[in-house]
Amino acid sequence: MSGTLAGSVLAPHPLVGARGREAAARAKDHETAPETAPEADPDAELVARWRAGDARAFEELVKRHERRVFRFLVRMLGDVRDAEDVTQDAFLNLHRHGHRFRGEARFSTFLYRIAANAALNRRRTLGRYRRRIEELLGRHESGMDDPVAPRDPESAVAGSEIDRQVQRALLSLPESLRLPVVLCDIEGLGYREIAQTLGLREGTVKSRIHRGRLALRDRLVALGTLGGSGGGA
Amino acid sequence: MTHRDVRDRLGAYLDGDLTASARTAVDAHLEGCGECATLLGELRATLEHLRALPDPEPPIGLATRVMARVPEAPPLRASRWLPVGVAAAAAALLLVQAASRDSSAPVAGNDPPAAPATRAFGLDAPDGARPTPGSEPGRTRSSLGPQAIEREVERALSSPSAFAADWGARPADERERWLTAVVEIGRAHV
Repeated sequence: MSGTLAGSVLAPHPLVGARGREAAARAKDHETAPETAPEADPDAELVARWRAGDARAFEELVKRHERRVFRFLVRMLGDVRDAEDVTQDAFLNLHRHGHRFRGEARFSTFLYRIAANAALNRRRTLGRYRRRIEELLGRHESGMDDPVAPRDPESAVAGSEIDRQVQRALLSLPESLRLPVVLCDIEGLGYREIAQTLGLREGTVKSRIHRGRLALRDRLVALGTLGGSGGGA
Repeated sequence: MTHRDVRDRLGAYLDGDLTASARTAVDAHLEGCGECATLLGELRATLEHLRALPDPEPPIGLATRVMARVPEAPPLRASRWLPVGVAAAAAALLLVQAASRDSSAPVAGNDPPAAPATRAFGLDAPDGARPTPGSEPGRTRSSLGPQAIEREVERALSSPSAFAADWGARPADERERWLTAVVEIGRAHV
């Protein structure tokens, strides 16, 4: 992994690809309606005010989007405290890199992209340094090997046992599948918007969502959350 | 449509993303194939579980905390990231080692702004001093300038097991000073 923390906030990430909006715009899939017409962006006015130097407009944007960014990160990271930290980082990154937003995609898409990168960077950083700290203290344990494993999985979801199992199943997915599944099935984004967020072609997004759901279903069957034989029509 | 064709299309089927003819073909297959119908049911249930996950309440005051950090939004590396603490802690350790192994080294200086680690020990790094490029982490001299400390820290981080191996052999008071420094540094950076 080569990108620096600062450099990879918006820069192409191995999972959040390089092709970006252009690729999404070029995508030939015609079955999805162009639901993300830029002129329909409900944040356009606030963004314009912020760019004109109105700090309160930025605060307004944070308040308007904090819930969705936080929710997205809770589901991606599986840990409420990590999600809070990364939410703050994501908004700070937004503040620093907001000038790169050109309005070709929705503002919320741009923000999801920043949040996704912040989540991926968090994982990388934690993986690298948690292990080193453990080694520094001379008690490197194999149980600490998974940097993504939440310190307290139960804190991720204040819900039912089923919710916890679903969250656990989500965390078992590789990020390349978890990202599009969370964006689609929890955040409710369309294929096109997900493609823009992740810099992937729509066809790739569709296939990853499907593979991710199949893997989740396997996992939930294994956990006993879904009846292995029931559930049919 | 084969079994596999149908399986591959169930995602699009669930999302209403199939053309009318493809949808009809899948429906026809599902009529006579219990296995695919079961899979569809399980996928549908999976989606329902995902959508039913609770909507976590963002922490109170989150926007305020963000805004408090915005005016002088620090470079990402200097934010709350763990590496800073680790780097500073390693620097502290180096200084402890240096102080305990080379008591004749100068410990009082007044020039450069002391790094948090040096402050934690009441030590100031003499200006301009540089370590030998090839020196090992455990053999560092105390005369380190801020940049040299940084270099040493990088080296320390690249072979943490050397520190770990060394740790148990340290006197208790040295370990305690080191841990105190870590706490101080942690406070300074969070």
